[in-house]
Amino acid sequence: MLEGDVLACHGATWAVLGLHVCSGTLIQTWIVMVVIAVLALLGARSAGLGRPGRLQNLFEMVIDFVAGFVGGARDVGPEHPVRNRRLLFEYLATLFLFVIVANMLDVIPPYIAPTNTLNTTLGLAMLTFFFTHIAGVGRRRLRYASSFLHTPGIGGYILLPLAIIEELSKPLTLSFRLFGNIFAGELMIEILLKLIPLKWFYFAGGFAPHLIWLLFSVFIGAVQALIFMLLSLAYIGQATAQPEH
Amino acid sequence: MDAASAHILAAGIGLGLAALGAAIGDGVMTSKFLEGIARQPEAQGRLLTNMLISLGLIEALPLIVLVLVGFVFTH
Repeated sequence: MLEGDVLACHGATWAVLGLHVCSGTLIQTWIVMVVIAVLALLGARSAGLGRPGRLQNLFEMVIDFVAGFVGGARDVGPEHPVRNRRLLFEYLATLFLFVIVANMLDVIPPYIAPTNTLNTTLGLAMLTFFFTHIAGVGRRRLRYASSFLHTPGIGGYILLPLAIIEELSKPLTLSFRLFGNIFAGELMIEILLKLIPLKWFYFAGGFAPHLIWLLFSVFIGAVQALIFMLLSLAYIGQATAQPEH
Repeated sequence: MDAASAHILAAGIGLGLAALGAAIGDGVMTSKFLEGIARQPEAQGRLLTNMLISLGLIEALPLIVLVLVGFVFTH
């Protein structure tokens, strides 16, 4: 798809059914999925009437955190169906868990986060894009088209191209934001380690700042995962909102 | 000046301007956040969450510029 030094594949390129698959990104995505699945299974194993374990508490915290935002999004429509909110919650929780676990694993040196490729982040953003418009059409049917006319009368039609550009730029900025943050984080680590050769008397030169930056990139990864989820929620909420008149 | 040095110069200027804008934005946001805490210390938790979200949004812009610069000028 997109090629160049910055946007190159990690690892070899596999040709699968005429598609070019970045093997590195694919394997890292699988690793993320395995980590989430194993953690979730371990956490859910002891779920029951007894005292909850540590992992279970952690998962309940994450789930409650995401559910809090979705519950807060209840006001977007006067008769927001609960069934849809559950679907929305499941989608957002999946997004959040995937992105945050991918960003956290980024700290382990040989591992390159799958979110460090535009292919992955653009894929996630396209998921949100389709979810947004399918939810909008499903909720408001043909009236959804009128939500692109921001002002009544002829002005809305004049501004229609702008509204469409705005709509198309949403997945673009969403994916570039996540990719840019993770990419810049890894680039910074690389630069810090290369800047000063790694010898014992230079220990404070490259290695210590790199450790500090690793801590900071954990923070950035968590914040970006949260923002990715919140913006997805905002876009979907915007599309499914009923106009007030 | 040949094309390669012009590219590097343009990338540097663009990144610097992006960082400048984001730094001003960060400063404005943080000062408002501190004012908010000083006015209403009990609202600190909610303000902090919202500040972190906007921090991420603002910080993303120079990084988007970084990606764009890398994409445009490595070709």
